[in-house]
Amino acid sequence: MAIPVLVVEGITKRFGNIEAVRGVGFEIAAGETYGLLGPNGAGKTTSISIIAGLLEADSGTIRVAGEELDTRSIKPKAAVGLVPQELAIYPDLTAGENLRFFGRLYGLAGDRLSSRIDHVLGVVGLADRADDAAKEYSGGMKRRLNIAIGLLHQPALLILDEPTVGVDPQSRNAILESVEQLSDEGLAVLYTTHYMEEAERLCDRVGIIDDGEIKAEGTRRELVALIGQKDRIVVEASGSADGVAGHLAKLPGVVNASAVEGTFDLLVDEAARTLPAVFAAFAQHRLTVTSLQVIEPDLEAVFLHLTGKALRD
Amino acid sequence: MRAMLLIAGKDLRLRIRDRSAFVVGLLVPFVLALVFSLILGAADEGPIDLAYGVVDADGSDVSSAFTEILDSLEADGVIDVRPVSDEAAARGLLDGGEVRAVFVIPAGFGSSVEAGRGVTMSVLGDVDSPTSTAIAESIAETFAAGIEGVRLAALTAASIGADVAATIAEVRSAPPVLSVESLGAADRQLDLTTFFVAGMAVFFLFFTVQFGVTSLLDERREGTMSRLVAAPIGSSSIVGAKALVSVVLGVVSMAVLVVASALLLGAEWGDPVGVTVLVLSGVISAVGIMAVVAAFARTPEGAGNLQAVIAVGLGMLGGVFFPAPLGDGILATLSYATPHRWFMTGLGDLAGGGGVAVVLPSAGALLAFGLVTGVIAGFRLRRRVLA
Repeated sequence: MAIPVLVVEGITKRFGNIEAVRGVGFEIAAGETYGLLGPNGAGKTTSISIIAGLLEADSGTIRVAGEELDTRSIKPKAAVGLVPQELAIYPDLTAGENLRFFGRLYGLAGDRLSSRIDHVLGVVGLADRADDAAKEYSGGMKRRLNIAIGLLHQPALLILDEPTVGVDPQSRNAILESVEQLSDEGLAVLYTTHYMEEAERLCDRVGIIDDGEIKAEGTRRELVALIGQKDRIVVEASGSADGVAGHLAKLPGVVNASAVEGTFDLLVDEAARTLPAVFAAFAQHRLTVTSLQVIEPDLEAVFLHLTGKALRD
Repeated sequence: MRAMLLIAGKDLRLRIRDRSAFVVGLLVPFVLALVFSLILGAADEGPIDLAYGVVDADGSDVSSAFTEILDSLEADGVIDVRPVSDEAAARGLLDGGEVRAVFVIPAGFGSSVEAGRGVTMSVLGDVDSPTSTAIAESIAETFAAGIEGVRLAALTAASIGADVAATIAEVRSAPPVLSVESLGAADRQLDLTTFFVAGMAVFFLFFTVQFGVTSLLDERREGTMSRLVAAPIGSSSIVGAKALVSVVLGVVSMAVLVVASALLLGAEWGDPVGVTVLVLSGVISAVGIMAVVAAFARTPEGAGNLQAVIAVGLGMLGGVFFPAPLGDGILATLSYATPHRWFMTGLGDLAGGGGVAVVLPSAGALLAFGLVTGVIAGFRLRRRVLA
């Protein structure tokens, strides 16, 4: 691996009795996109807040471009671009004014600032709306402006915390394309999401995080290899689902089973051998199967295998 | 410093755009001061005019003693006095508004006093100037009390067989029975217009400055605080910028109100340097107090509500709504726990004709409020920025 832009070592964070982050550590090289994949409450945002210097870690170290970073750091923060999960823009300012303000805060000025503003507005597709107040933007456009601000000062490391939450499909696609382009340009990207398909599309390596811990880390191929040639079965059924997941998990050949609002997610050794028993269980619980999918192993299956729960739990 | 100015500039731009600071800081206090001044000013007799006449139909030593007292008061700049030939002329002057009261000393006044007989000195007053007339009556009564003192001294001397003439001479050579050093308290009162403009200005100052410090909570709620903290700047730049915005808003609103009220309403603020010192220290005290509230509030709304309660409470206790004196009771003592009282006291001192030196005690008290609360708020807000 190339010289890492970001090195995270053993960071921990406790809020009262809750241990939100437990020894998280990973590295990201220039031009690499690293995904932190996990459900809500897994510790992604807390980890990112510590890495961006917003939150003090109880222990562990962060190094960005070779320099240690914490909440009081000044210089190392200039190497980081942050795109928070919550929109962090001034709605009463135009996109241009937002960018100009944050650009100056990072030391940009004059022609360089103007050219960077033009560039990032082009990257996120807002060049023709630069003079409109941000409050007049759609949700997706605000998200794109949120990303543009993080990119403005050409950071070595870009941190994106679930940037597509609540975004329309068109804007979501534009955001994903922007991230792909930035990675191709040599930017180190830390990307958190609970959308498996985003992690699979964007990330060179993925860290699967749950309960504040990274359960596994690697490329998609490496992670899928962890669960061998297991199949995933997704069943939608109508009727009372109480206790059904537990019953399914005990069936021969079933590795894991979870249920969310009538959708059952099973990881099995071999779908063809297990399906009769699965159908029998549904019939026993008087559930009517309305759809069924057999899926080859993916990150969702890996997550289910590692944590015993679905990503959207 | 550069980051602080950048953030402050951005905040000021936002404040100018939403116009709320303009309404709270300038429009409302100016209009309220105008309304109060018009309503209550109509009931006021205006500046106290102490122009008096004196009719001395006696010409004795005793009546001369009284006119000498009047002359000494005139020499001190307390009253204006003019001799009047007779009572008819006196009434003419009163009707013409040339004097507010006339002392009428009847013929035989001195001999009656020396003989111990009852005699009356009249005070003719202008019915439209009750305060001026009351002051004239007070002067006459004080003189009468002095004469009574001399008479008692003479009676006492006679009863013990002493030299009555010598005793009277001794009493008369004693310091004047009536002496008025200055009417300082009256001079140090603001006229109604200035009082209400100043009162409303300092009252709304506390609402105006809160726009700056409370925006720290707005940044947290809007999510922009994370970007500021993630930027390569110190947390003190963020907190300092908010305080700077408060100071700028406060100073600008006060300066505009001072100038506008002087030009449009005829408010008399006094020595410009003294007013500047008072305004600056008043703004610092307001920023400190409002910053403490913002530092301990959880939400912008919570801070706003608490700041409003505190601003109104301090304003009422500080006596900015009523021109009546607070007296010497517990309220008067408590009022010194408010910046408002010190601000109004400082302005009153300036109205007495003093320069910057007379406002230094008030300015010092205001700065003490600002520094104590500002230091507490600064520590707390920096911790919250990094929390």
